[in-house]
Amino acid sequence: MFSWKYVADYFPDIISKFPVTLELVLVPFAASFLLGFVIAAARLKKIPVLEQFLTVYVSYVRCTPVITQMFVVYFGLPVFLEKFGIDANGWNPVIFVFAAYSINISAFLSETIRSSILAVPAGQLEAGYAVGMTGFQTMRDIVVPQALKISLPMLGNLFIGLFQATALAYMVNVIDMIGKARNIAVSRGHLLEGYICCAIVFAIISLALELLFGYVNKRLAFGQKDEYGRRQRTEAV
Amino acid sequence: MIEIKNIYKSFDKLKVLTGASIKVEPHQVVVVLGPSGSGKTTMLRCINFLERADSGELTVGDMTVDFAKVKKKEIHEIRKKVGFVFQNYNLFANKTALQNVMHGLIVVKKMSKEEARKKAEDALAWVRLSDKVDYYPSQLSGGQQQRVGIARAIALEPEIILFDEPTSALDPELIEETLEVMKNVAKRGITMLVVTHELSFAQDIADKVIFMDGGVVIEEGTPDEIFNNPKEERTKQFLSRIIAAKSFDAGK
Repeated sequence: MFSWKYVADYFPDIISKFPVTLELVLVPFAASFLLGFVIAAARLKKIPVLEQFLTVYVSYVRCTPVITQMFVVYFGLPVFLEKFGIDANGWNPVIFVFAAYSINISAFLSETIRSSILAVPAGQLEAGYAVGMTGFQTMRDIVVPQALKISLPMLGNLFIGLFQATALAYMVNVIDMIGKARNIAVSRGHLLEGYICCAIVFAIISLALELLFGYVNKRLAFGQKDEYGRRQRTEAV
Repeated sequence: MIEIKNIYKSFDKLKVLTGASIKVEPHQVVVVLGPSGSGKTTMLRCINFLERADSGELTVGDMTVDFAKVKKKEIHEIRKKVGFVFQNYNLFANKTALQNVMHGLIVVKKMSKEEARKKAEDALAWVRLSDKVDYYPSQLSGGQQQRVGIARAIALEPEIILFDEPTSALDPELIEETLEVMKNVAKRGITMLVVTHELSFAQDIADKVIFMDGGVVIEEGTPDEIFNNPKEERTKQFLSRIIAAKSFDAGK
């Protein structure tokens, strides 16, 4: 029998695993951001061999479900590491989830970063050169901040998507909120209540994240647009 | 002083510059005229290496380089000596008017923030934009953006400023305010190389007018020589066409 009382009862237990979910989001996202940047840079610079390799990498990741990637890493990585004499069998499963999600998100992020950099008008780079700045300085001060602004809606989607994708981590024995709800379901026989708790937490956090990204987007407007995408003109001409 | 000798540039099979040579003395204002496709803009862009010329020689101040084998470091040095004002302004979209002018002073000229701010405020006051220092480019009109562009170039105190059709993206009424500022730049004794279709500017301000067509210099001389006594048939044709178009515009 479903009862809201159990929802309230289980809530503290489930929310106590929220830090696990949080680290499943933050660690891969931070790693992916760095990795995605490097991949995007290597592809934009068209570094031979590396560029082709990364193109294959990105399309592999984009063409396979994240859950298969997670299993491939979870079961495959120990086998691979064994060849180098490293025993990964006793490792915390969280490490494999970090690795799998970092691979997954880095591919999507690299495409987001790459397309956003390409979307910054060439004239911006030329203006940097004309002022006497180096290519690196122009990228750092002019192009990347503008690319970041362009990519923000996509970054927000990816971040929220990753947050929700962490719900799969229980499948490789990580006890996050979902894992906890599953344990409760097994041990106490109340299936639905635990998952309702999870749904509530996921919904609240996702909403909060959306608001946060909306706010950052507004802060990075460079005087250009308000939140509805209209042009802001304090003064016509 | 800036000098280009025998510059060649093609885009794939299209030969844009075929041996043009020009010279600009210090404090001179030189205007380059010519029909579209004559290579004026490409030549200007080759001077600060926004475009890479295939061959030829470039002298800026005390530096002389061969276009065919110029080094990255030399390109950087030359860019620091040369200012550039773009046809479509190209202000840094993520920076305010003041930051647009300040940024190069801080990053390239290694000035302190206070010093750069002071200098940038002066430059913006000079183009009569003191009330717009904190506006982003998207909040400024085309004419105002172009004036910020000019302030950005001037503040860096280059040996020469290149103007690439600075008024051709502007409405007629905004052209005047921009030309006015350019005239003031000329009065300050700043060396200028200007590609434009504004004949009146050339007539009033230029020390020398260069007429280009087909990737070479056809004729050069004082404004009086070019406008009143053009020697080459091609120059005459071009001028008569442009003047006819202008008077049609004016409803004459």
